[in-house]
Order: sequence, then structure tokens, then C-alpha cells
Amino acid sequence: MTQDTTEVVVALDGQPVRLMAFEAGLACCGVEYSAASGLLSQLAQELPIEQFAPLDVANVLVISGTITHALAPAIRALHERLGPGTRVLSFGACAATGGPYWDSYAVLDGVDRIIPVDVYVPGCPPTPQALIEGLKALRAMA
Amino acid sequence: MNSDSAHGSIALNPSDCTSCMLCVKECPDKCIHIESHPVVTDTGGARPVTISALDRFAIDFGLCIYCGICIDVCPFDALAWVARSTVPGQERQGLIHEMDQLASDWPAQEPT
Repeated sequence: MTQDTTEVVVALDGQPVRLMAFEAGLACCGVEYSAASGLLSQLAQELPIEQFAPLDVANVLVISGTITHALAPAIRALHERLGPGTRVLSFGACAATGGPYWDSYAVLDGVDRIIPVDVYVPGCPPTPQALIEGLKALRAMA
Repeated sequence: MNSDSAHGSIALNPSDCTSCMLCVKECPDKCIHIESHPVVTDTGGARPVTISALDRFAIDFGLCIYCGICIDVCPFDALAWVARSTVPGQERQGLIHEMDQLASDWPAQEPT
């Protein structure tokens, strides 16, 4: 599981929005999220300011990738450590429902079985455009 | 990034769907749900004609991996790609798009 906190500044509807996203990359969507979020900051004409920020400043937990039963306790512990104010964004089919592995004995069929999810971004992998839509939905909730 | 990306979402034209279930059978992760009932009409031929009337067509975009196999196998081109991304859901159930929602995205873009 890759763990890093990336500050991404994105322009949504012409307004810059700053997100501290702690990324829990569990499978291929982890790579896709990194690529998409990097692209977002480029689109906003600003590069990520701090690639590896401390864990306690993250306000969005991005769950990207297949969650195995073996890793589920780690995800739950991570969510507890980040605190109750943390928004959870489920990135991709596996995080939302288990995706093509939903009936595997080893795979959790959706991260919402262990932690509450605020926004589900569908896709396999989701496109950068879909991530933007998800971030807009998160901002609308703030 | 290209916001005009062709594989944003999937739309349905319900009037072209014959409930043949090919998409349901071929879907790799079983994210399409179809319910139908038989309608028997007597056209005055040798025997009555039975067709399947579509009652429910739903795609679970939480499960969908956007592979497009359903679009490829549909014999009547009742499914097609939509450029716009599926709207993210704030609830798990919100990602299950029913027939009305799938039809509202039709007509989809022309095949390229």
C-alpha cells in the first residue's frame, strides 16, 4: 500500500480549491489517481506545493484500488487516525464495490463496509474528468 | 486529459432493446440488470407471436469497468458510449442508473 499526502490545487469553475488528499493506493487505481491528480494541478497552472505533507493535515482520504480483507484493518486504522472530519473519496470500481473482484473470497466488496464514504467516483479507472466531478461533489458538501 | 473522451459513460435506447440478455450474459462483472415480461400478440399468422417487453434495465456504475463489451454485443445497437463521465454518487445506490436515467443520455455520440 502506497501512502503519501499530496497537496493539489485545482481550479473548479474558475476558483482555486486546495485539497490535502491522503492517498491510500491499494492497486492499479493508486497509480491512476496519482496521474490524474498530477494532471489536475497542471490544469490549475500550479504544481503540487508539498508532495509529502504530514498525515495530520489531510482532509480528504482517497481510497483507490482493490481492498483485500487482509488490508481492511489497516484502512480502518488509517481512517481513525485521520479523524472524524476527514472526507472519504472512493476512487474507482474496486473501492466502491470490489469491481470485477466483488465475488472473490479475498476481496472486500466496497470500502463502505468498513468506513463511511462521502463520494464515489466510478470508473475503471476513473478519468481525470471524473475525478474533477468527484472533487466538485466533495466541495459542494463542505 | 481530454474531456471529450469517448468512454465517459454508457447510454441506453430502451425502444431498441429486445431484452435478449446478451449484454447481461457477457458483462464480466454482472453489473447489468434486466427484467422483462412476455407479451403475446395474435397477428393472425400460424401461431401467436411472443416478444419480451422491457420492464427494468439498470447498470450499476459502481461495478461497471467501462469495458464496452455490452455495447459491442448488443445486436440492436441499443447501448452506446457517452462522452460525459458518469456523475459521481454520494450514495452507493446512486451509482445504479435505472432505465430513465440511462435513456436521458441518449442519443449518444455517433460511433467513431
